[in-house]
Amino acid sequence: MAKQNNEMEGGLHARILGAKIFRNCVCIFLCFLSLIPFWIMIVNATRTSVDIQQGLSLIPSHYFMENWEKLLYQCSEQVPLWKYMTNSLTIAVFSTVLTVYFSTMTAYGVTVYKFKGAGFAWAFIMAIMMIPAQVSSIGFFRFMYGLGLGNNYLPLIIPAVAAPATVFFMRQYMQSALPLEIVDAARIDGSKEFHTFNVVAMPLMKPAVATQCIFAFIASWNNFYTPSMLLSSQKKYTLPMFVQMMRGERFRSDHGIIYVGLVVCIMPIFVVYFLLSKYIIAGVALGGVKE
Amino acid sequence: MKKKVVSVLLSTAMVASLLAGCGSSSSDTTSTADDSAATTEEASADDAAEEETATEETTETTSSGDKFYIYSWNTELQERLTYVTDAYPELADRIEYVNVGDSAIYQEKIDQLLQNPDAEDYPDMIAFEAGYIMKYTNSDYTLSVTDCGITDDDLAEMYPYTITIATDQRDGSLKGLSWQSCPGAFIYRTDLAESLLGVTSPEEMQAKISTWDDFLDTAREIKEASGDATRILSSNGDVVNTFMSNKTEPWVTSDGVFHMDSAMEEYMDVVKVLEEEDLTQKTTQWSDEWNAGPSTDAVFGYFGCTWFLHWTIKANCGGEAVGEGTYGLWNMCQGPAPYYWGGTWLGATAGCSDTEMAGTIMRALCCDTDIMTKMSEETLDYVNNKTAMQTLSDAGKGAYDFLGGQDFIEVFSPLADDVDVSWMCAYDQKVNELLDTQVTAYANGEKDKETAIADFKAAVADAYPAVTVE
Amino acid sequence: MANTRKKNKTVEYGRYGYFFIAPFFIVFAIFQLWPLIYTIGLAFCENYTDTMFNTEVGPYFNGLANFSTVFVGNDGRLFNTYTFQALWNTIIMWLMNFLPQILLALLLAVWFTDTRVKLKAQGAYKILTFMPNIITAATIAVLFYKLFDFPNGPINQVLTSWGVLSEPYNFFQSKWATRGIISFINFWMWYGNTMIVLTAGVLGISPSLFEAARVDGASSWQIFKSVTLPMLRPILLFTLVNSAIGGLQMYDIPKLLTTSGYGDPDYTTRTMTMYIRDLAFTGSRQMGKAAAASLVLFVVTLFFSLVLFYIMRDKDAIKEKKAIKAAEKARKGAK
Repeated sequence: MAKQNNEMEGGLHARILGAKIFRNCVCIFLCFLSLIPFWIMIVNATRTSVDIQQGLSLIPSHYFMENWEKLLYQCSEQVPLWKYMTNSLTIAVFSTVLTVYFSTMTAYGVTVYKFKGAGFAWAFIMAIMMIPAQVSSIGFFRFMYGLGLGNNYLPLIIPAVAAPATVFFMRQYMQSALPLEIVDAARIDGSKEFHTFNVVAMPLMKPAVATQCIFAFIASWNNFYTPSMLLSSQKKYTLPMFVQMMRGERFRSDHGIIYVGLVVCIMPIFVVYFLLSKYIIAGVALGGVKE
Repeated sequence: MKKKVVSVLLSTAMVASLLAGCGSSSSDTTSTADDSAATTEEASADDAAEEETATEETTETTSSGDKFYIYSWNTELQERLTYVTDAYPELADRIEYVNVGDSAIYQEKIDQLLQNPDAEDYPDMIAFEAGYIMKYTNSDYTLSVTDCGITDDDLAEMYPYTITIATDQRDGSLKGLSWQSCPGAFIYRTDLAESLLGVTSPEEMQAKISTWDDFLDTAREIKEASGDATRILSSNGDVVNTFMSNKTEPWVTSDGVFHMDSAMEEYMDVVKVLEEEDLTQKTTQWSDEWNAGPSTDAVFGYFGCTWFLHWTIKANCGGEAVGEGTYGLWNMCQGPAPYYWGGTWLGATAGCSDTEMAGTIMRALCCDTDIMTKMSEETLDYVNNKTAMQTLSDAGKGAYDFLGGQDFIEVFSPLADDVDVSWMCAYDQKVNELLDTQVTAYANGEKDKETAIADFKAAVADAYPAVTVE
Repeated sequence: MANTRKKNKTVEYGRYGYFFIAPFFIVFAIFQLWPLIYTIGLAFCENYTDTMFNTEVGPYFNGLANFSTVFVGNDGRLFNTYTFQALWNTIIMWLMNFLPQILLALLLAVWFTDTRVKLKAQGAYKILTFMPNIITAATIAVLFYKLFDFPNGPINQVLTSWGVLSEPYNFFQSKWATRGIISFINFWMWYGNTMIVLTAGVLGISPSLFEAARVDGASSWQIFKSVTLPMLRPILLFTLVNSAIGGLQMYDIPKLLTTSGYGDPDYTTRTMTMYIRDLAFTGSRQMGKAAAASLVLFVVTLFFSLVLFYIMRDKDAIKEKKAIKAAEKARKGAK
């Protein structure tokens, strides 16, 4: 009897071990696929332009410093590299903060409060999320120029307040992670509404806030089209615009410089991602309600 | 925490109300003042990093009256402008060069700005590429060069085709000037020509490819003699510019009617033969394989122009001096027909704030023989100035070690004179792209010629509702 | 008694809802509303630029003329237009990446929350699988183009040396190969993103629920099925709707991957947003027709989203609501 049990347990262990090995293999394969482009980017940053144009390679060459110096030289002629960096950071940080904070706030508004028009407001937010923006972007640029806001950061930052997809995510998240009882309890304790939102609700939303911060930051950082259409003074250019300028030379482009630029470009995203990732990968129950 | 939130809210509200104020105020000066105020206020509510941007903005607003905006999509023009500012140092501080960095976005942005003459960053001068220059020169958005003080004498040294292209077809006024000329030739490997075809001079080579039938025969000969190791071209698409330059009429004539030129059917046939008989490497232009071609024996030659010679073939030949890679093993001849490829023009906009300055820049960059001679010598640009090129050729500067000592100026200069651009129209860039899609489908055997032509016409009709496509 | 007090409170606090949603709507009204109304208006107007002399035509009101060119082909057949060709392309390529993407993301989310088969390195896996999302689409497109280059790109070399292919294959001349590559890139770029969203959703579930289930002796699969999945439903709905919107508005990869940017070969990978941008920004800049095509895409997106909302609806909650309503009615009737 005992022996049989042991055998069963042994079988179970073997199954678990088997599953573990299989799952790790799949995950390692997926991670490997994810890393290839980064490796190629880094390798290309160490190669000469002509080599890059003639094919891919997985073996690093030794032109990194040369490419890096050329990049700095290209920058120093006009605007220093750090300037593009801080420009991008200014836009990305402000728009990320605005997007995440105000989206959470909007979602909180439609989730926690029952008021006239709440249903309509929600349907409206969902609808504008689904409208393709291509054509209205033309109207947007025309409008911004009309307001004298061309070559200005405001049209790149302020509209981030109205981010329907983030609102949608936050509202869905609140449905499972923000019990209304907590809001009621805070009220009984005498907490004011905005105070409850900032001090009680926001901390419960940490994993959601972290993920949306990452997404919003990447989207704003990598956004190339809107800034290109609006900004004209090179001192205000963003980092991706600078890399595109290197690329815009076409047949005269130095691809080594471009790849160094791309590597520089993703560094800040890495930093933000790793800083915030602890909220995503931490064990279960970071935000959960202790009952 | 609460205080912070309130301050964020307040500053947002302030910015919002100021923006609303901007919308209602009609005068431009008020709105710029409002907007810099908004930025300052936002900065005080936020941290110091923002403050820096704000102060910069204010200083810029005050001096913007003097700024002279020149728009382009890469640094090429910017580098050439240093020749202008060397001659006229007083202009250097006023030029605000805007490099949009992407030629597709460039047109969108220019279109946007040209409709906003009041915008602070409204362009004073804009650069055009051959593919879409007529969209602007045939419009009221650009200014005639005579209004900038350019006289006919200034134009005397230019290659005629560069003038024809930039001429407004409505009233014949010239709207833009170019500092470069881009005639094209067939650039081929001398060593392969000798071993595969027994050809030893550019004249002999020219005789072997003077018509498209000859060209295809030579292509077959190369394939056979090399035992499939070498092809005459890398991609089927390499022949496109030559055909485009030899249409007899524009895609769309001034009465708004679309024409499918017979030269285009010939183009489709030639590509079909190249594809079916396996006469090229079948790569795609600008792809890795295509770029690698010049350094190997797989490709016999390329159709290329002035800039192509220096920046594409030479750069990819696998060496930097005679004896390395294929450096020095190239020669040029005209090929089946004269053509040109690329080039950049510069023109003043209708709302140009300082036409005199625009004139000075254009004259220095595109008309001044001394400056242009120097520019050509230093940058290898084939400049749009006959005397300058002749001077350089006479001084022996044209003999090019990459071409085994052949004088590239001597080859290009008659070709530049011969370029005919009567076939050009404002529709070229997009219509050519639409044609390419169908030529590829036809060459690959996806559809027959009639279907391909019908689909091509349908695509043109879809893109241009005002054009009559029969 | 308790019920009435609760109701009072809701009414009392309800007005705060306006303050909370106000910033969103104010900013939207300032920056986006006018462009949006303008676009919708243009759909019913003739508005394009005559390329010949770069002169703008319109906008003149022309009723449903734009919609008729969007819906009816030159040969008079319904849906035989570039717009609908682009729409089918989009739907096909969206489904090809959407289904595997959601399934893989869900599978990974299950694996990463499985308490029995613990993956020690799951933190690293979560970080790494998201990474393709960091790089811009332009860079990814260039890279994949190089990988599948003809005739001697790395993939062709590997496949011919392994004997899978007897001679190099020109992937970008085959519509299904190109669609497959585009779908794969989108799948590969976004499954990590979807997985992170789902994981965040799992983290939001109260741990006491898991503990209770574990104490009751539930297996991993049972926990997933009766705790994780139902609690994840709102986030899953978000994921599905968001991927549907993103997929139907697919632009970057198909635009940048093929050489012409028109969806090679022969428009078979041209998506709806590519076509809309072609209309609005190139050629005659046909704003009216582009706006009409945008509205068609909006309706299609709305349709798919509503289907997803319907499939993912909370059946229990609806039942409960109905019961409450019925009870209220009964009470009112009693009064």
